[in-house]
Amino acid sequence: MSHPNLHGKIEFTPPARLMKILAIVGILGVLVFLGGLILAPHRIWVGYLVAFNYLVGLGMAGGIFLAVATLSGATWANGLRRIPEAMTSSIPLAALLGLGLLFGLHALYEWTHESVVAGDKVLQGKSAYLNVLGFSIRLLVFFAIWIFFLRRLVRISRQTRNEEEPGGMRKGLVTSALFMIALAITFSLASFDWLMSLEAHWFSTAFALYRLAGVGLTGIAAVTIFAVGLRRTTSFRNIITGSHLQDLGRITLSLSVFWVYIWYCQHMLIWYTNMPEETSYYLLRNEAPWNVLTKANLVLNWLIPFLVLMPRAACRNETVMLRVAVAIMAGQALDLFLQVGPPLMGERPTFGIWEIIPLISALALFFLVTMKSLGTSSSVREENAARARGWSTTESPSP
Amino acid sequence: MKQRPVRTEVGVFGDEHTLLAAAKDCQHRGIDIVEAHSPYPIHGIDPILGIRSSRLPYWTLVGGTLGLTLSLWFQYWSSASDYPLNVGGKPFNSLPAFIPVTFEMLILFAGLLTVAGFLLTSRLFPGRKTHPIDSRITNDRFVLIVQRKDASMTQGDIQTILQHHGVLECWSEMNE
Repeated sequence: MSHPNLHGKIEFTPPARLMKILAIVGILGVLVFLGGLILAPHRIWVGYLVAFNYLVGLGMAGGIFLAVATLSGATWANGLRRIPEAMTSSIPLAALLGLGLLFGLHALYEWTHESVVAGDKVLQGKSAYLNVLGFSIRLLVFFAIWIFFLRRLVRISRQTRNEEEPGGMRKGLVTSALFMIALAITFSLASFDWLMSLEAHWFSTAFALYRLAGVGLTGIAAVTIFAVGLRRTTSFRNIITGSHLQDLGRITLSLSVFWVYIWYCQHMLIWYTNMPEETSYYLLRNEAPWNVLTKANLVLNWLIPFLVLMPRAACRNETVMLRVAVAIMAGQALDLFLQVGPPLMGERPTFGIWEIIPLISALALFFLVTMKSLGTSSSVREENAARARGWSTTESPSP
Repeated sequence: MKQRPVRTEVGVFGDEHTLLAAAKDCQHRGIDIVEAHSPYPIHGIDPILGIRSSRLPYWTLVGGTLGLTLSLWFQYWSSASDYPLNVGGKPFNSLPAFIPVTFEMLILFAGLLTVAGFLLTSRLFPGRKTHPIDSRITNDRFVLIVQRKDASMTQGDIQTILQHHGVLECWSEMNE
C-alpha cells in the first residue's frame, strides 16, 4: 500500500475524437428534429418529450447527489464529487429544450385544445392550473430555481476542500437543505406538468415520487458510467477505488428496489381499487402489445440490477457495474417512453428514428457538456481523495 | 499436540483510531497481530487481522428464498386451490395481491435465518460463559493483542511502539 503524492493533481482531458463524434451526433439530432417537424410532427414531439425529461433527470440527479452527500456527511463520496458537479452542467441545455417544448404543447397535450376543454367538465375544472400560460410560467420558474441552486451547490462543492471546515460545511448544509425542499415542490409540479398531464383526466399521488426514484436511478447509473470511464482512461484509478464502485453498486441496488417499490405501490392500489378513472392509465399499458414493454421495463430497471448486484464481488467489478448501469440507462429511457407513448400513440406503439434520434442526440449532448465540464474542473487534490479512502494524512493522537 | 507457551502483548486503547494506527504500525514493523477486541466493528481492521469476508449472507439468501417460495405457494394454495373466494371480481390466482405478504415473509425468513445462522456459527446460546480479556471491551475500550515474531524485538520494544500510539494500559500475557 503506497501513500499517494499529497500535492499532486490529476487532470482529465476529454478524448478529442469522442467529443467530436458526440458533437456531430448532437447536431445531427437537431437536424433530424427540424426535419421531423415537417415530416412527422406528431411523432417527433414524442421523442422530444422523452429526450427532454431524460436530460432534465440526468442534470438534476447530479444536484441531488451533491445535496444528499452533503446533508448526510458522506465523506466517502469526496473522490466522486467532480462527476455529479459536471453532470449539473446539462441543466442550462435542458432549459433550452424546455423552451423548445413550448412550441410542441399543441401536439402533445390534450388540455391545450380549447374545443376539447369546452366539452369536458373534468378538463374545465383543471384549467385553472392546466393552461398554456401557467405551464410556460411554471417551466421558466422551475428552471430559474434549479439553475440558481445547482450553481450554488456546485460552487460550494468545488470550494469545500476540507469537509471539516466549519464555515464551508454550514453553507453547504443550508444550501443543500433548501435545495431539497425546493426540489420536492418544483420537481413534483414539473412531473405533473410535463408527463402526468399527457393523460389529463388521470392522476396519481405517487407519480412525482415515482419520477424522482427514476431520476435518482438514472443519475446513479450515469455517475457509475463516468466513474468507470475515468478509471479506465485516466489515473483516477487511485481516487475512484473499488470501494467507491461497491458503494455506487449498493446505492444502485437500493434505488432500483425503491423504484420498483413505488412502481408497485401505484400499480397495486389502482389494480385493487379498480376505479374507472384510475385504471385508464393501465388499460393500454397492461394489454398487448404495450405489456411487453411494461415487463421489459421491470426487468431492466429492477430484476437485472437486483439479481446482478446482490453479490459483493459484482459491485466491485468495473465491467459488471458498467453493464448494469447501461441496462438501467436504457431501462429508464424505456420507462419514459412508456409514460409518453400510450396516450399519444394509442393501442400500437410506433418506434422509429423520430422517437429514438432525439433521445440519442440529447444523451450525446449530455456526455459532451459533462465531459467538457469534467475536463475544466477535474483536478482533484489527492489529499482529499486520500481522506475519502479513509486514510488520515495527519494522525490525530487522542487524549 | 503440545504447544509452546507464547507471550503476547495486550494494549488497551481509548478509541478505534489509535488502535488502528497502532495495528498498522505493528504490521509495518513485522509484529504479528493476534486479535483485536472492540465494542463495535472497526472500519479497516479486517485486512489487518486477515479476516475473510463473511459467509453469513448465504444464510440470508437461503432464508429469503425459502420465505419467498413458501409464502407464494401458501397463498396460491389457500386462495386459489383450497378455498377460492371471490374478492372484488379479481381472479383467484392474482399475483399482485400476493406480493405484500410474499415481501414480508421473505424479509422475516431472511432475518430470522440470518440471526439463527450467526448464533449457530459463533456457538452462542443463552447461558454461554465467555471470558473477555477485559470486560470494558463491551463498553468503551479497544484492545489490541500482538505477538513478536522473532527474538530481535523485546517486550519493551513492543510496549514502546504501543505507547507511541497512545496506549492507555499494556501488559504481557502467557498463553498456553
